[in-house]
Amino acid sequence: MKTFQIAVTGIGILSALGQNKKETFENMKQNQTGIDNIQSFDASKFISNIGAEIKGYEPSDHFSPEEQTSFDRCSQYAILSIQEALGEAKLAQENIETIGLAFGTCNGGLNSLEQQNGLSNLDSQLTKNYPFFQQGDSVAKHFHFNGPVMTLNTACAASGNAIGFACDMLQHGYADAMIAGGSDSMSSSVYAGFNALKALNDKPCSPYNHRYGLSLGEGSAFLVLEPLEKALGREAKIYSVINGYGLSSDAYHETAPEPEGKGILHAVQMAVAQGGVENERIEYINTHGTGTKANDPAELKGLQSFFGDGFKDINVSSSKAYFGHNLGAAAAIEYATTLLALEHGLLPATIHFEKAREGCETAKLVTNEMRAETPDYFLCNNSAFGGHNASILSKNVFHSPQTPIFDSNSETTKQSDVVICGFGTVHALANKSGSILSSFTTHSSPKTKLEFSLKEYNKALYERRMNPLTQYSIGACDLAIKNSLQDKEWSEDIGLVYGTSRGSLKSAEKYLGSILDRGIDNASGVYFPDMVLNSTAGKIAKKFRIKGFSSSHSSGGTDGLHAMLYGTLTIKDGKQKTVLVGAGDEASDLSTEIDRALHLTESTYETTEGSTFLTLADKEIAVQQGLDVYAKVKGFGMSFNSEDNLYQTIQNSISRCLYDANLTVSDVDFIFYHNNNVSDTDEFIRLKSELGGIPISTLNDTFGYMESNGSLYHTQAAVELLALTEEEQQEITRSLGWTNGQLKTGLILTTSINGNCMAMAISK
Amino acid sequence: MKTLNDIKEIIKVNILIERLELEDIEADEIEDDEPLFGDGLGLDSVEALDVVSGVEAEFGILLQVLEEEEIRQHFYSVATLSAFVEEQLKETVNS
Repeated sequence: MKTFQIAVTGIGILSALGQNKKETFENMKQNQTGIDNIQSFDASKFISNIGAEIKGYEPSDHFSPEEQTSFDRCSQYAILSIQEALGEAKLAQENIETIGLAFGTCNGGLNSLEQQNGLSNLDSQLTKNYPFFQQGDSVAKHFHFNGPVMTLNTACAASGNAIGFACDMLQHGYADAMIAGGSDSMSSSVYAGFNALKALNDKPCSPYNHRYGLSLGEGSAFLVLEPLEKALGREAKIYSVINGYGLSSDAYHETAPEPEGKGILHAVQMAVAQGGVENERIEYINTHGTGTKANDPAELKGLQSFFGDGFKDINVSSSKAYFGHNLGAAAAIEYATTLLALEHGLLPATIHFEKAREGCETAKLVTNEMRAETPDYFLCNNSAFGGHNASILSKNVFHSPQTPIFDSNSETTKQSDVVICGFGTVHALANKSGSILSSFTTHSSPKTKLEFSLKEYNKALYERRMNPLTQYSIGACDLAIKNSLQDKEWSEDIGLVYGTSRGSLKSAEKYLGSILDRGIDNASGVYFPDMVLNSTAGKIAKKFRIKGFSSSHSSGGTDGLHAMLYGTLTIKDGKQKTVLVGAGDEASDLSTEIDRALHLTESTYETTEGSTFLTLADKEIAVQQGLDVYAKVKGFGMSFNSEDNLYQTIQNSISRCLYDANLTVSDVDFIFYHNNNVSDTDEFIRLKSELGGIPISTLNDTFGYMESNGSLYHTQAAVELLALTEEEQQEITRSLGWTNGQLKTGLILTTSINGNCMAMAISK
Repeated sequence: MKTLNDIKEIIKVNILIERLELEDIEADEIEDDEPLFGDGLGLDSVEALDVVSGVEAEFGILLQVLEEEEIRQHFYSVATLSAFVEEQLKETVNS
């Protein structure tokens, strides 16, 4: 494994301080803030009526009327900043075959529902843009990206998470270049939620200052990322080199940070350990610093406990006084503008600062004016609702005196083998212990109505108002833990990767319904925290005290396999020894409205709900701890259908997967595929006929269609099957019409509604 | 004019049971002196804010100016909260 060194070779920004990076940086240098009176909706009923909106933005300056219909504000902002970043990076087509996108967002397509003032009889054109994978997919399609495309939904840490995920894609050779960042547009219902939580400041925010409160903002920033040697090889302009990143979960509270900052501490520890950099060389930290009473001192405490005495010499600032809190775009805007400042030998400041608040006095804050410094290494940190944290460690290439940016000591370290040692599913056709195989032979007709109450399953795991998605997911997670770790000593230091395309729309109905019923100034504070899609992952982490690497994502169909991918890489890279990976779906009226808008109601599959979790572990640890090893994870392949040739896209995923797994087609004994049967039917029929020798089946016609969880459900079926003896396998596979002998290696294939494809190989 | 008992009933039914969707509990099972937070009903900080909003919405009084300490004091139990609301409503009438 090469040393982790990813170069930033392009930056694009659209912020409240400017419609490009030059304008944004010039205004930062002038100590300007983008926070002003809210223009996009009537904010007069709130405790604050200011926010950092993009100034003078006219969609028609950039997009045709048709484009304005297909791209919501969030997508538009992203497209403009990606254009700027790509224009600068000038990626040459001949070296770059595969470009992917990692898209961070907190609000996703929420504007599309807000505009409709209701939750039923929705307009399909608008509603189509609601699901949280839609912005990333639309943007990927617009730029013809063909590599891994993923939306990270870890709320206010989403774009930091996206940058980290993109680095992993490059490090493991899944893409030649990645575009990573985040975008969020101003949302009246999100503003109403922060108002209900009394988190808003009536003056422009100034983190660490004695006046509490945050200011909301909007904007977008994206980076072009490439492996450092490639960037050096083509003599690209390099802004920084990313050496490591860490993710963690507080497992503490849905909105408030762990008061001692332990969550952010874990993320920093992970980032610095991956980079292998001595603490003394880290000389600047761009903090999350929202300005709320709870966030600021907790974050500083966490950092203080990591750096000890040395912390007082490290420059620290939060950029939120310039840009407000840009939620899913926050990390990317703050990271990108830190690079612009460093290029000029400066550090971003926290402006409007008067005097430090209690608990924030000892930090070496950069206040009111940019400070001339050239740190060696620096951290950019973000934290989120749901308890997710992200920390990115980077080398400042403008450091003076110049130190080498290329670590020539790029020795090969061993990568861990990853095994699957537990599973559990909550679904209409799963049995009590979470197995799904037993129903293969007993059910030939679909049974899709799920009746599962977490309260009845285990009251201790339940909390009031817990939405069905979270109940199913906690149930499945518990089953997977029982099936693998059981009551063996397992520490809090395990990872959790979770995929959900829509989150809990029942909670969204409650929250948005409270605004429709009671008015925007009386929004439901108790349902607002569930509006972020990572809230389910956050609740799972809290229930099981899982504090390690933690991420949540959406893709509209490949979510489950993506969780497998990200969990596997986390173990391979030595960040965790054990990772729980899961996905889940929940049925609701609003969800059916969205199905209609996406044409999923035209599928012959019945839509269903449920959740699956698998336990992944480092093989050595699994053996050491005496865990059952059901199967090995062999490899992955990702491809996005940007050229409207879905068959080719599926083929690309398969061939990339086989290459990654070091297998050939003849090694594959069976294929399970999870498809939606609307946009991809012909492709799978063709695939079946061309792979005539290999049995290929979907379970969706019997078990129903689960957008997020289907691919993981199929994975569990394959895992259960692989663990059996040949005779036992045949008893099961007869019901699928398969006639082959011992099954040793299987592929799981999955497509999303927008043509995002993934393949994964697993072996006995 | 709402009596103290009316106020208590509104707090229990409209705010605690309906707005917060407290399950497995009926209004008459909530003791007037039982603490709303911690050991009693076990409400958390986010729910506390929703109770504040609920009181504002149900009784038309503005509480945004309250300091945290005052909230802690007045929102201790249904009894303290209803007494506080009654006081506030009287002030509204008098002024």
